[in-house]
Amino acid sequence: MSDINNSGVSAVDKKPMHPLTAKLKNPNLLLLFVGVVIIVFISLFVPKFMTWRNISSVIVQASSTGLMAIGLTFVIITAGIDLSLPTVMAFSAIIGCMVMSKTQNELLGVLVIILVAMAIGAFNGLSVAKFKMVPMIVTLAVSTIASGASNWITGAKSVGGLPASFKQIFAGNVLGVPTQAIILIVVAVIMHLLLSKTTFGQHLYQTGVNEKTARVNGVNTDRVKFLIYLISGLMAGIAGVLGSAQLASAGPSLGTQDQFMDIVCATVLGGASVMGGKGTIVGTIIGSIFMSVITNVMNLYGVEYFITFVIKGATIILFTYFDLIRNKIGEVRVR
Amino acid sequence: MENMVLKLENISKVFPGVKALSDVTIEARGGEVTGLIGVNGAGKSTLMNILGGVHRASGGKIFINGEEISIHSPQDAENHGIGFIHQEPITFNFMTVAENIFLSKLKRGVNYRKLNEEAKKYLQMMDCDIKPNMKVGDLPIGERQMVEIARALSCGGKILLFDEPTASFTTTEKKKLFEIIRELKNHGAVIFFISHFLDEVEEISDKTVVLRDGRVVISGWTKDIPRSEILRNMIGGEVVQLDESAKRVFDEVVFKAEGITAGKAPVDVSFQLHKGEIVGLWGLMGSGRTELVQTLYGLNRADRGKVYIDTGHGLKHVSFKKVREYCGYVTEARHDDGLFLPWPIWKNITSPNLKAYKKKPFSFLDFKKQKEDAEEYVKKLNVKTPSVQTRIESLSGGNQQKVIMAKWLLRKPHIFLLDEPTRGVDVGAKAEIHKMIQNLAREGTACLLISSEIEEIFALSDRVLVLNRGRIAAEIDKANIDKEILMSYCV
Repeated sequence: MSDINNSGVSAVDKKPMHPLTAKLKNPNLLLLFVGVVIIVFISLFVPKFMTWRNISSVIVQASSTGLMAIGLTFVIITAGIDLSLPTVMAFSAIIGCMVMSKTQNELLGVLVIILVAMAIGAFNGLSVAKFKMVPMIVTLAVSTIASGASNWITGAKSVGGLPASFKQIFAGNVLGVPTQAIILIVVAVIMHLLLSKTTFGQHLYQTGVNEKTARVNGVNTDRVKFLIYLISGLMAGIAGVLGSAQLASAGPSLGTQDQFMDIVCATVLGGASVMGGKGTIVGTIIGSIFMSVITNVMNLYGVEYFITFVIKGATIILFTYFDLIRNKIGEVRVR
Repeated sequence: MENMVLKLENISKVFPGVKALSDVTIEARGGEVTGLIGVNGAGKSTLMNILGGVHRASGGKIFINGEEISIHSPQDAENHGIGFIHQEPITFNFMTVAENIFLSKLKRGVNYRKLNEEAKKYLQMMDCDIKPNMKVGDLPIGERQMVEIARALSCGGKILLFDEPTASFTTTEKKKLFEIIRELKNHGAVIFFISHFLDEVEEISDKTVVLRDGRVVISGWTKDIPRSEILRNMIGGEVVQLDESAKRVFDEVVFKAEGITAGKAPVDVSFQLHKGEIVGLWGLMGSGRTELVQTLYGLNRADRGKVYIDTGHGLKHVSFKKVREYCGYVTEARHDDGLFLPWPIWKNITSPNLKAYKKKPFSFLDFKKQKEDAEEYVKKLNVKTPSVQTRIESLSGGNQQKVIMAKWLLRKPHIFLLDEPTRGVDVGAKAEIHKMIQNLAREGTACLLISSEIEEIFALSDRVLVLNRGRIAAEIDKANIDKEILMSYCV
């Protein structure tokens, strides 16, 4: 409340925002700034970081997290949540790879992966939109089912014997750029346009900010909610394709509940609010890269696996706090 | 009790972009009721919030009995014996009446018997027989207000601020409140009473202070200021008269509802709307007015019934889901389901009309055009705001309501459903909104108008439908509209 003592300010004058404040209010810029500082810092102290090999491994890692984080962004904007993303990704990849290894037809396999993931997304969507179940409970239950089923079907082992072309296509590179990165960028651009430029995207934000007003406006909020879980499923499916291609196999460990932390971190760091109504694809992508840089650096430093969770958790608390401060700056309180 | 004097000297308050109060000087004495009146956004609530410690003044001084005091928090206000009774009772519904009354004084290890006895004392001061150990959530809203007053009294009750306390009251509750206020007055308390309603202020207050744009424009003994004077000063111009339209003929049916039934209300409702006609929908609270509109609009599921709309090719059956496409719907509670509060004005205005902004080749939305259209309507409807980028939540009630009107006008609806379109709106904006509705009807839109204000129904409607327990009890022509007749069909 810094505005209190400016009694000299005339009534109609709009107080221009301080340029620095304005920049700080853009979550993406802040994140980018912090990210760049960290990367410069790291590359000075960890020589291995700035190698092409390491960078592309960061990008590959970011692609799977990024795709699922895109899916989660759609869901979170409408104030929903999809906890089932990583386990659905693993489950659909397993089913698809089983088909692929039987038929040796990589296209059929890819199709099955995506369709299975979308079918589960549709189930989530139907439960939330049509039957008004609580998203957190439904998707947690679905996640548990998917994880259980994955282990059960495979006997907790990986499904291999996939055609070599599968890895070549989806985990290869074009002119030195990893295929995963290209797919991530293409999907991100399409999803960004869908979210920010179309009626459907605006309906999403409307539903998230005030569902009742959205309904009065004529938005079919049930349809919106169904579709976002379907999109979330689709993203899990594409991530499943990339993940299993990278390993040339698919097993329950491809996507576990632990990974959800990375996904939600990426989304929240990117400016989405769990309260709904906020979030962008650009932010989410920056958030995903940020997350995989952190993970990568911790690997390079040889930080123990479990400690990485402590650090990630702390990061998200820090950023949520940052977000609060940022919103407080320049907050307008008028009755 | 010695005769208290509360003096506010040159109080001002600046919010970013708005000067809410400037140089407000008021002196109030014990044993007097000071009525504070003004349109929405005039600064009444801001002034009370400063006294109640919710906001801090940007300038000016406050004196009690000649001694300067500073109020930085609601706690400070309480310590100075200032009790604040809010517009909507702020109570904790899962706690008991006694706990609510002594909220700020509750400590660990409360002696509940003593607490309840103490609470009873304050409640009895108001002749109120609420049991102190009842849960507040189980009380009707009027009695919750009593709990608030008792809470204010427990803080010493030397200075009491009533901020539009009657907004949610029935007539009997109001009567009782006024008795209480008179009682408190006789005990020598300094009392501020804020209201939109002129007759309430005239009835209860000894002195009247009129605020406009954050300044005191007129003040003095209530009996010395004529009503017209107050009204003129409130809106700062001449009172806009509603023009009594000449009798017009309505022959073209554009909307027909047939046997609409959805649970308890509405029940078997059938009626027609003509082109250019304003039809009032009158009924008491709970008669199912809002439910009927929501069912027609497809928000509630209808058990039975059909809707026909003329979209230019004669009356055609339209499914409830499609009705929305031809209707504008101003809802009863704008904060609840009329606005996107954190969003700028322009986004709110275009939010139901996005279809119109699709651009080729990818159907992407034209944001620039949206802002231009919003600007046009903000100007047209005289919305007072620095720009269309301003967040809607920072506007006053009247301006918010105009934005809601704008968002539907932009759609150019065939049918306009208006549920309490001027609730919580100041006199000036109210007249403007009435004008908008009349102009819209003149251009051929059929309007269905719900209002609790009988004057509004009188002034605007060409015909009135009376709803009673979900059914249409009567249909009355303009010539025969009369208060008693309307009431006789309601009860």
